[in-house]
Amino acid sequence: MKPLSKFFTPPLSDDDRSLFFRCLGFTDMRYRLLETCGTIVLRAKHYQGLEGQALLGTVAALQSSPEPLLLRRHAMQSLTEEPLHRPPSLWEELFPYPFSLVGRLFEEEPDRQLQLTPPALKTQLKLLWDALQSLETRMSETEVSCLWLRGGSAEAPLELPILFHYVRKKRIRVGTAPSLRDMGETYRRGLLGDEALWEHFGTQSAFYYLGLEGLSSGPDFIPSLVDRILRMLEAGEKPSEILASPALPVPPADPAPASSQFEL
Amino acid sequence: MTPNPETSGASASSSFSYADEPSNRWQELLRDARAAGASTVSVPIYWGAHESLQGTRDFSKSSRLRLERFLQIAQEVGLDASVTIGFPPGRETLPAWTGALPSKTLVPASAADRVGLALIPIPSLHSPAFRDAFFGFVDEAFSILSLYRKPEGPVARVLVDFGAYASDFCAMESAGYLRALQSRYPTIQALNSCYTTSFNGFDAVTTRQGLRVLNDRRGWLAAFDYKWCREVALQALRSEIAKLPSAAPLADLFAADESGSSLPSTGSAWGIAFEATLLEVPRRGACFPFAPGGNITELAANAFRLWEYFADHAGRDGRDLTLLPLWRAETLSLPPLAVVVSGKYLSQAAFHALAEHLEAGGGIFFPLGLPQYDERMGSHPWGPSRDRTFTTLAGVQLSRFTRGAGTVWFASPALPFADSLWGSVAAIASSLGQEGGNA
Repeated sequence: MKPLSKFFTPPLSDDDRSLFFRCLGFTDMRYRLLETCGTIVLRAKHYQGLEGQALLGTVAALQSSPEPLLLRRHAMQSLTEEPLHRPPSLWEELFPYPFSLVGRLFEEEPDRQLQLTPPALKTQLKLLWDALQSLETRMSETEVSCLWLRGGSAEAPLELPILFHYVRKKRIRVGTAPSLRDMGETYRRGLLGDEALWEHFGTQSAFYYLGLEGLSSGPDFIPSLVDRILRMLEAGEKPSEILASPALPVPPADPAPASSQFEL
Repeated sequence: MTPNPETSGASASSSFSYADEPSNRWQELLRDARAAGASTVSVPIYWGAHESLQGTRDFSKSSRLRLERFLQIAQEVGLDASVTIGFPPGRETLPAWTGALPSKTLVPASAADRVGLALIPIPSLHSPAFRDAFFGFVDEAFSILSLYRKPEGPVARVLVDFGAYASDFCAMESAGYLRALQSRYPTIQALNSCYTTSFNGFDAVTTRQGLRVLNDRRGWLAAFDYKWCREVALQALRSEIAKLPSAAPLADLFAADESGSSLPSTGSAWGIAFEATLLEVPRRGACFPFAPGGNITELAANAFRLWEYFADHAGRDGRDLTLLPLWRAETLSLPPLAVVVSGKYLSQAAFHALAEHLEAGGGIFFPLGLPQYDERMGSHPWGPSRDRTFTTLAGVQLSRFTRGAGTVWFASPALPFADSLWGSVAAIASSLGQEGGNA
């Protein structure tokens, strides 16, 4: 599909969501997914990052594993119904299935069929949910926002530009397109100011650069990820201080980022 | 404009949703497609786009909906148009106002471009209000298309696509389903005899509760009957559409639905053939457990878990994974040794496809036991029991017999439902594949 306008992009594909997941560094996360209908097991899978492996064991065996467990309980003998036009949360929009289900735990009306253990992981992921909510609040201040993610390692960097379209602060569309990749380059050359953004999108727009290289891979991984997002948002008023952080990559500083750009 | 993965080479085609493209770019995009070697363009006509207001159909006012203009450009550029009408997947498949219609049906999430194990309520195809409105739209679209049929115009093919409705889980509530069931079982006694039930009439069978009873009695047969009746009901609807007066000039252009799901063979010595009656397989989506009326049985859940298990392992090991046919006679492209994952039942069409494989000298291994019954509840005569020999491979006792030029092995007793299943199947299949090769 070709763009209808400069900010019309194809919606995120499964591959894009997988790339988002990898950019954020969830590649090694291990957990189990168990879906039941009463006493019937519908789906049991072990996940390491994006790789899922179906399991045929009993419920007791599946629940006895020390790995985190995402449990979804449907009603007895009856699958859950979901409305056709259920607006997805930002979390569901961005994360691949089944990790996308986790977001439903934190919605205003949490999905009571879902359970995530251990509670410590749930708490950490709630912080990530909150950080993404803050990001969305910021992004919705302009009609179009481009979030440019850079993760992975120095040897194998991963990049994903995501375009968000808001009308009256309501998310209308999320997508990506190869043409957006040029914007990342323009930004890195320090040439992406308000004017260039206006010229590209023809509307009020903002560019957010979220660098996620070198994140902790241990138990502090999720808190450090949350910290990066929040620092990027806080940098709105004073990006130069954040750019000076020694642990972080330093993109060209001249010309200074315009007020609509945020960078870590 | 996207290339169509189903076609390649000289007769390449591209899909083009004109309603999703700015009309001032149609010519450029179609020219690009022609220059890239396409001879045909697949064109979905979205009801949701053309009738966003109930009763007001727009084929000419909005620039993006000017169907005639689009067809003229396709002809100028030298492209044939293969038009899909009905419910092709897309964001404007259904008009938003149909969501307010009271009668709903349930479809698997994967049939509605969603993920996960959930059911999505959509307007029922069988509600008179929905149906009348849909037929009205189709009628008007056909009158336009008939002006542009080949050779005067570019329209070379018309396909009626039922989209998510091909996976409708509440089809039993339609009159077409009832008629199909009555054609399958001449009397209610015949049905009761098959299911060991005591229904007084067909009306009681074609309710959610009635179907639940059938499911509990004979889950596999209930699934087979349901899918068969749903398919017959959709075919009847397709015929009704083709009989609309405005469709007459297009009669010879109507094409059969081509929803092939087989993947190209990897050429490996053995692969998996899955008996999928208890699965719902939306054309463009992932498998889903069979759940008519939204109800699910342990049998369907187990079939779905086995499917996921075998699909995961086959994908990792680079093994073929084929679905066995339900009712259409199909010649399958099976590897030399087909590991058939099934329960006690196989459809006659599947039996036939496997018999062809054996006649051609292929081998079959049933790790979960030898299927015995078909959809008529007839016991399948695999051959005289005295011809069977026994052997042990990877610690599993196997029975073996020959049929035609081929050989059948089956685990007796069946391999257990456990995480070690793939390891056992792979060890046995590798040995048998070697044996077959040596033979």
